[in-house]
Amino acid sequence: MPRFLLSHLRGLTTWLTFVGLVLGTALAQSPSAPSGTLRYGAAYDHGSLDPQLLSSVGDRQMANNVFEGLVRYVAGGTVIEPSLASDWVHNESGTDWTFNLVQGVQFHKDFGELTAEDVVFTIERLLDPELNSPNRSLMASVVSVTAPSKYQVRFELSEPDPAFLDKLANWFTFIVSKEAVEERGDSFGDDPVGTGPYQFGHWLPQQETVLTAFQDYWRGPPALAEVAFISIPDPTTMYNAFESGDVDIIFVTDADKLKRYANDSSIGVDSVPGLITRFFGMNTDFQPFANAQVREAVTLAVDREGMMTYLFPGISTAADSILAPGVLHVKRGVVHYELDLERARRLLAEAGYPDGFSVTFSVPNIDRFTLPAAVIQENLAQIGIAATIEVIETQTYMATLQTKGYDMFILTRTQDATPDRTLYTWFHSSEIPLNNWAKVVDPDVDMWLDRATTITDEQERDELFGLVQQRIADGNFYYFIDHENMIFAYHDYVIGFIGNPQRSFRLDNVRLEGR
Amino acid sequence: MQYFLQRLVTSIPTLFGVMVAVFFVVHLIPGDPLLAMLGDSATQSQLDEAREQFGFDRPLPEQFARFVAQYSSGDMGRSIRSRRPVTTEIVSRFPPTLQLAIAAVLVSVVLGVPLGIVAAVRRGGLVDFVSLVLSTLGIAAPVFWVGLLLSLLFATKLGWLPSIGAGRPGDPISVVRALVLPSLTLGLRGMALIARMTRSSMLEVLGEDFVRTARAKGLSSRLVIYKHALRNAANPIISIVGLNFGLLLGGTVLIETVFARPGLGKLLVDSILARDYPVVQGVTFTIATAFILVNLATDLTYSVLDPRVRVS
Amino acid sequence: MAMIKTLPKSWPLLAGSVIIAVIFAAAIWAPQLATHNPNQQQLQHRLKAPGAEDHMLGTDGLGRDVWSRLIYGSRISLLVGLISVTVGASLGTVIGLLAGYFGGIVDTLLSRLIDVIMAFPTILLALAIIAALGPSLVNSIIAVGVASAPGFARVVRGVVLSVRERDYIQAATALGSADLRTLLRHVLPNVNSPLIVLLSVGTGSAILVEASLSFLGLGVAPPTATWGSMITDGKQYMDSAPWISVFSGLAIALTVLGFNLLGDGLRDTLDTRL
Repeated sequence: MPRFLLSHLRGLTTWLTFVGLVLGTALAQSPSAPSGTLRYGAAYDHGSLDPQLLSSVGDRQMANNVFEGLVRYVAGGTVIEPSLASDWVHNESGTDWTFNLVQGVQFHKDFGELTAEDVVFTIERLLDPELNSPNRSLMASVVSVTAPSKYQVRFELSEPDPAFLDKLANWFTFIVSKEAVEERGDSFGDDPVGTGPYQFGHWLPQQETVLTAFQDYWRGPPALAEVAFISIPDPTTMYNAFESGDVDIIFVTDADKLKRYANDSSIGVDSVPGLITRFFGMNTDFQPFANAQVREAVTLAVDREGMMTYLFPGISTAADSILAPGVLHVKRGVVHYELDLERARRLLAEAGYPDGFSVTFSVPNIDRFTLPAAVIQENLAQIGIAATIEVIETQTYMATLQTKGYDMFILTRTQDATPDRTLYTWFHSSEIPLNNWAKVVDPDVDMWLDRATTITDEQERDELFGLVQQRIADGNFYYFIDHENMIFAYHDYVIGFIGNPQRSFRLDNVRLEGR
Repeated sequence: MQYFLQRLVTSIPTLFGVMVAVFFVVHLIPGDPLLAMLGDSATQSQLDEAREQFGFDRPLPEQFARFVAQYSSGDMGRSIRSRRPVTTEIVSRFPPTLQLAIAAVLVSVVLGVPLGIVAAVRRGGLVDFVSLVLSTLGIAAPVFWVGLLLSLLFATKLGWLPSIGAGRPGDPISVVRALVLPSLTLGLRGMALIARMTRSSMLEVLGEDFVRTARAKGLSSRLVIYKHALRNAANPIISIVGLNFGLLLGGTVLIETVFARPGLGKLLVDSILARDYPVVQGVTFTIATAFILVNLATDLTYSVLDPRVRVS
Repeated sequence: MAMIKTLPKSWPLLAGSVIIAVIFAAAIWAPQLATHNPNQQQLQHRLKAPGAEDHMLGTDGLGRDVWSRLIYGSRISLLVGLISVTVGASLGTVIGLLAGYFGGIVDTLLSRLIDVIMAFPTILLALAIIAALGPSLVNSIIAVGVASAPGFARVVRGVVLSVRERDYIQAATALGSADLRTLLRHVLPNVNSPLIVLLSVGTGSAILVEASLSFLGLGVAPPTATWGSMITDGKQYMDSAPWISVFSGLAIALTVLGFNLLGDGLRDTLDTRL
């Protein structure tokens, strides 16, 4: 034994020194000072960080760490808890709410203390038709928002809104600094000012958006010094970057990669059923799709089972409802697709398209959509529908979808715990073209939605929302494919990451150890 | 000097022609060019305002005059996607593309010349065969495919080099490391061509009488070889670099996509996919201009080294 | 290694012809040679390695047979390559003839035009044209065709200029024979050789440009199998299923090599100075 030690003395000494140095530097790091840069590999690039204007999920993820709302969702869940508002009261009918703000909350970049004036400004801004926020209609029942005192905000609604708190937890009501918006005007989205644990650092277009720790965050500074959202739209590049350690955490959508990461002990995987539905839509303005038989024929041609079994094992679950299973008042079983090519062809012939037709299938440039789109295209070819796939960059896609629209499109919708926002914006005729992309115009649906979103009787709401879901499902305006799991993969030196069913993760308690 | 001025003068109409072509990119698009410039999501009032501002209701020649004036003053419009001036987008992307182009040229010369020399000196040997294989493959194989294979081997499997990016600005080591694979891939073709060229010049020189005489006199053979052979090969090598530069520039578009390098090429491709036409115009113009300038430079260097060219 | 010295001088011509003949055969007899429908997806057989079941070269991410897609992909590559080069050659030859024969203003203008087109690196030009017209098979052909025209124009113009100076042309003109006939009868034969060489090499580079466009997602729309888009499709599976990208890249390299060798061989055989 001693001879062994002696002969390997040099090696051992080197080893020990090395270990000593590593331990020493690790110990020398002060635990409380923000340190380290977390690099998130994002499929999206920065579009706008203006909460009242943004719509892409990438922007939501960043905004979630830069801004805060009056209330917020518990980390990783959908239960509401106080945030900028410490407590609140409301009258019995739910038409009069008063929130008490936390005092001493600071805005980034020396824009001063948060007061009720900023909240009033934010909400009025959201409701301003000039701004044209895609979510303006959601707060339409707000008649007035005032500041009875410096730290109090009062909302008066024209009718009760059972989803009111949800809306105040969502991104579009994140509170912005009045002073900053007035100063920066149109460029606020590129240089935002909020109250969150991270402040906006810089944006290198198509490269990265970097957020830096906000030392004066009212809950205490975060553990990370920086968060970099690295824009890597190409999935191969993203997975390569993750595997080679160039990024620390990514969102996983590939079943093969999921399997590999799950079996890798140096990689942590956080998977939670998402409040999300993936679908493709048929615009009824496009002649063949105006015909209900045609739409039904399409739904009979899609090989969903094949997709679920071979393309998305572990990634998602087949949808039997429009809303994700975790949403309040979801009606399960309204969606029940069969694969019947014969019947599909017959229906098409009956509808007047015995030889099929051509359509442009517009797809965002992300593998979550291009992959199923390729399968759907092939499925439709079997019944004579020639779908030409047109791949479009994501931000451009969203902008066009919400204005000019596409004949056939594929996307996902993230939902809340309450169905109000989702169902209303998606299917109400007043939401054309912003959110009602299939251009559904159904007076019954409008009526049900108008009523359901303004009463508080949960049983009646359940009935009404159920009717809406049934009607929309029967109409086959959309094919609801599946509900994805929100899967994040991270290297084992990332501590404290909590996923989120809406993909809107918060990073205030995340730290890096041992990288 | 006269030659220089001559070439410069003939470049001007070419530059003008490039401008015409770039101008027409937007007007060839089926549909409303204004929508193309502002993006499909523009509101009617924005469109009307822009129509007046940009003069899209004016006759074509007048529009073109405006376009030239705009470009000459350094204004290439605004990106639809990022809302930043196109010139800012281009300037910020210049360094990685420039690094890549220079590195690729260096690779092709620094690796190609010695390879050619050895192939010539040991003619028919292993190195000669390898250089033959490399040159045929280098020209025939798609450059993006080679890049993928190299990336798979060195970045993913072996982990020696990064698979993406251009390194962090301010950290020269990371920048160089990120350059290795892309420049190797891009320089392969040029390296192959230069190696063959060097080889044949060397073989020419080696066979010449005065070399044998010098050898007989006892002069260091290596010195003789290098001095004369290289001087002989210099011109063809430069012309290869020049001719190859166009393919190099085209290749940067592909390589930057493979390696996710944030350069001009990637900007161009991304902008085409995003229908960001102002950027497409600006980048196309910039790259074409750069190409013209490089060609000018190679022609001039060529003429300096070989006076015969000036006379023709 | 000494073998290289003893290869017949015309080996590039031979090798090139063989390769091209094979590729042509693949394109022409694709339905017979392919083992599956190239677009048929069999999700349950996705990412199978070469040799599995009846998939000689394996399957891709959607369960499509790689071998069959390669075979049918040859059609696109050859189609785009040959047609675009023909378009470019026709365009270029006409321009070159006009410029060389008429000289003067016509020559100056056309030469400037050629310079402008050549001022754009090939891929850049193709991209710009696709950006304007939109990605499709026809537009790919147009883009690559326009990009290859200048090469032909320059060569033809050069030949025309040199032929014009020859004595017998001047004599014929003095004798009063029609200009056009002189042009066609005496110029064209001289143009043939360099043209053929350029056509051959040009097809190779046209195929590369088309592959590049497909790779970037700006070529023929899916699901049509093209070698370039196969490389893109296979990119994400490089470490788990490399055969998709590797074989399609090899197909491109082999085909381009064939055309290059043919061009080199023709150049040597026809003894043209290019």
